[in-house]
Amino acid sequence: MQKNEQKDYTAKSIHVLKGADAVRKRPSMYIGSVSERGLHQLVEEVVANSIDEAMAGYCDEVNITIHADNSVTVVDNGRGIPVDKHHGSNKSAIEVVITTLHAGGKFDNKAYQVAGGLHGVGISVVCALSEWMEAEVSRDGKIYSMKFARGKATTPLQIIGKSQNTGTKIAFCPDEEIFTVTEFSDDIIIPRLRELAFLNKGIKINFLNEKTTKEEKFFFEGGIASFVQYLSKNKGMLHDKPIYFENTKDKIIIEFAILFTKEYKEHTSSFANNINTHEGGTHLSGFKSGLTRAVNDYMHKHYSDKEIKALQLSGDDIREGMIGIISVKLPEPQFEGQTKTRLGNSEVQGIVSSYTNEKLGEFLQENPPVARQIIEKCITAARARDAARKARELVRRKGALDSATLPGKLADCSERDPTKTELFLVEGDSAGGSAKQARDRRTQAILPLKGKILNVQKARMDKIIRNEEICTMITALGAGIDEDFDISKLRYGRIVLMTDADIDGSHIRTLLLTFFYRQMAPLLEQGHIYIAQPPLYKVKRGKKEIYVQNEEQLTAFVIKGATEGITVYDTVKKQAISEEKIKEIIKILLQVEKISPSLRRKGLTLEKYLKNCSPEGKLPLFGVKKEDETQFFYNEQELASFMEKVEAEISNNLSKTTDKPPTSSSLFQQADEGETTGSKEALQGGEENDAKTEKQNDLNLEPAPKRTNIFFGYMQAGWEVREFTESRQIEKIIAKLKENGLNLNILQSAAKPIYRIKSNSEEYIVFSGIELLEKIKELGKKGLSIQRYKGLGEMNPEQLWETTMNPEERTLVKIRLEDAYAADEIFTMLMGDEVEPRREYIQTHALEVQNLDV
Amino acid sequence: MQIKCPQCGKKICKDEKHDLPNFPFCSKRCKLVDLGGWFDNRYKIVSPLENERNNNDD
Repeated sequence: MQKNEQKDYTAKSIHVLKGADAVRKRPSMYIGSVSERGLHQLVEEVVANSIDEAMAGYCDEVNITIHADNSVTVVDNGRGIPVDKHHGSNKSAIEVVITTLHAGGKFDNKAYQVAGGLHGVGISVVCALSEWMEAEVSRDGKIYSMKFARGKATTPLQIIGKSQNTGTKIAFCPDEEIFTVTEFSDDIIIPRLRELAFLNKGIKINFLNEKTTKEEKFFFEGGIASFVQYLSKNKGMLHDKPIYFENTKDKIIIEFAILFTKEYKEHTSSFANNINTHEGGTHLSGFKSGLTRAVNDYMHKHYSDKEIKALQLSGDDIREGMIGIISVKLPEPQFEGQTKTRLGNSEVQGIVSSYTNEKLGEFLQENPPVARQIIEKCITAARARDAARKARELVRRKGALDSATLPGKLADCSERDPTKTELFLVEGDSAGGSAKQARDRRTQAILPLKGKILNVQKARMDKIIRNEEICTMITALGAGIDEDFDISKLRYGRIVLMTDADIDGSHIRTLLLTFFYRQMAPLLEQGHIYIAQPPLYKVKRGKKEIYVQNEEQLTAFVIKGATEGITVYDTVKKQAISEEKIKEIIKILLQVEKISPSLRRKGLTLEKYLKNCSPEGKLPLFGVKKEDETQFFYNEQELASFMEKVEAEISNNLSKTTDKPPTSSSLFQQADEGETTGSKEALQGGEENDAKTEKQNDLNLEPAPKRTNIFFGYMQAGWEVREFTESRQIEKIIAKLKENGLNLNILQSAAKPIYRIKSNSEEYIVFSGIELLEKIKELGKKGLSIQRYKGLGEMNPEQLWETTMNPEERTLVKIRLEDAYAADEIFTMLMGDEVEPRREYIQTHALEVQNLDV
Repeated sequence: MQIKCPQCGKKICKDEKHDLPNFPFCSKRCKLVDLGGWFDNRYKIVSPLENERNNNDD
């Protein structure tokens, strides 16, 4: 800070504006209150004097100490308060300053160009409200001291020592007669001191509370640039360095700092002469307008896109996520407003605005990458704001979502009590029609909804629920949306999603659940959302007709029918097996059946998998495939050491700059030299297998998902690593088999038949447990007629009522918030533009999750 | 329950301690932008046609 050398700071600088004080009579008039706020204002006033010295360029360190008796000492290394005789009275300048209200060196802008002290009432008010005050001044090689009590001098000015330094030390103790609170709070003082250190760069502010032993040292070379960095802590930042400029224009020191974060909240603060102008003022409005102009100008100049050129960013768009500070220091600040925290000097606005515009414009010009980030953020913000505005307008538009006029598509029920009513959201008009005929008109309402197919291209199809459908639904529900949402107005106690049991149906269900989750979460939290369970099959045996919901139920029904009429002989033990035991065995075999598809996706039959057990009988945990060969591993370590070799081979090849990846055979040979010889035998063993399966599944592994990053390199070189998570399940099965006196052998074809099945007059022989299951299923299906329902539309109204809508018979699944959250996640994966994560998701989950249903 | 704001991806926490007026969004703004998306036909499910056929054949 530059010094204003030519100006003396002597008794001549001190002007008396007003006579004796009535501060003690009406303390609140001067310091706001006599409670906590007023108490802390005392420290503020004293520190402000030191800061003013710093702003004038004569002081760079202030120490504040709170003592155990609630007294405070403030020490600075400024020029020291003048001690010579004041020209207007017989008193020394220091006595005038401390005991006379509106006395100080700040009224003619000579000793100080700018000052933050509140109108010079500062220290005299503090003195008036203190039980005692001691002032010590180091100046002209001497140390002076003077004591005061409650606004009056108690000792004359004395010289108490010598000093080469200059500075002022003020110690005071707030008067308990005045203050209702006398305890100082670190939580109030420390943030303010930190703020002052930010606002006056280069000044050291040290704080110690001897009572709480709290100590802080503040020193910020970057000033308010450090301040915005401090405020942006833990917020994702768009750029590393704050944008910071400072200069003096027309005697006004202007300083601003800007940092853009990825948050949405704007955080703009303004200061005038170190006072936080909470109510803003001319400096803030100048800063905002300069900012808006600079960003818009830059965007229009550098973006050729027509749509963007036509865009006019609002200040709110630009300041979204911005942390900004504007600080001005000026000779005669005018504070206005309720709390005197609005800057009123009208000349400031234009000066700050053009300075901000000029400097920020230059910055954007010179830093294109940062500029691009900022502009893109602003454009996103503008579009988001636009979307939000449109949504709000639609919600507000009279009648659009008003449930006074119910949608024509809705077939309402006659009951008005929501605890008794339900609304079926039915996919498609035709199923909607059936449902309207089938329903109980008293309590069940029907709203048909359609998913619309847009934009069918070569390989993909986009499906949406149109906005009209969304609006219709909101209206029918009657609870409103957004700010008007009121669950007590919900017209139905249950909202039942009834969609086809196909992929379209599941998509529409996912979309609807996502909508409810995002915009009407209370419906889920309070359990109003259900999913209907239409049957997948109608099964008929003789005159008996049943509906089944899924494959498992169907299988159970088929097997139940079969086991009732057959006898099974164990041809090895030569004895009949009890019906109980058969059921037990079949249960196990059904579990085996469930594992097979996932193994098949990994290119193995169960038989082949089991053949690759280690000599000790361990199940393979990993398979590594290259071209047509697969190597099996029985624990992580084996796999890791093999992969190290692969890695060495790959990097070796790379260094030779050959494009050709390592050949599998060379590596397998290397591996064979190690411990894992069992698998080689296993591979050879595989060749002796049944030729048919060999052809179908000749270890044709499908593209594998990346297991972890470490495999990425091998993937590129054509290696595929596969984890056989099925091993755990298979172990359980082995245990179950043991319980029943069986072993894995029954899963593999034996040389001789192992079971003989007698059904009515016919007899069958089977060579494995799998075959047994197949045969029993086959027998069970005899005489059955199975009808598969692909959509709700295939059922007539009576069937729909019977199976899905009749409260006495149906099953409804209640959707919890967690389920809907999962739907939202799936939706995010399945929606639109970001194809990459979606594909990855499907690839990684395809093996485990058979379909993406919820 | 730790969830992600569906609009901006910011992580937020839902439990008794955290009252979230804009659940499951982090802010009013994100919730409104999302609502705008529904009204603007912006939300679609994209499915590859092949998959569709396979699944229907099940």
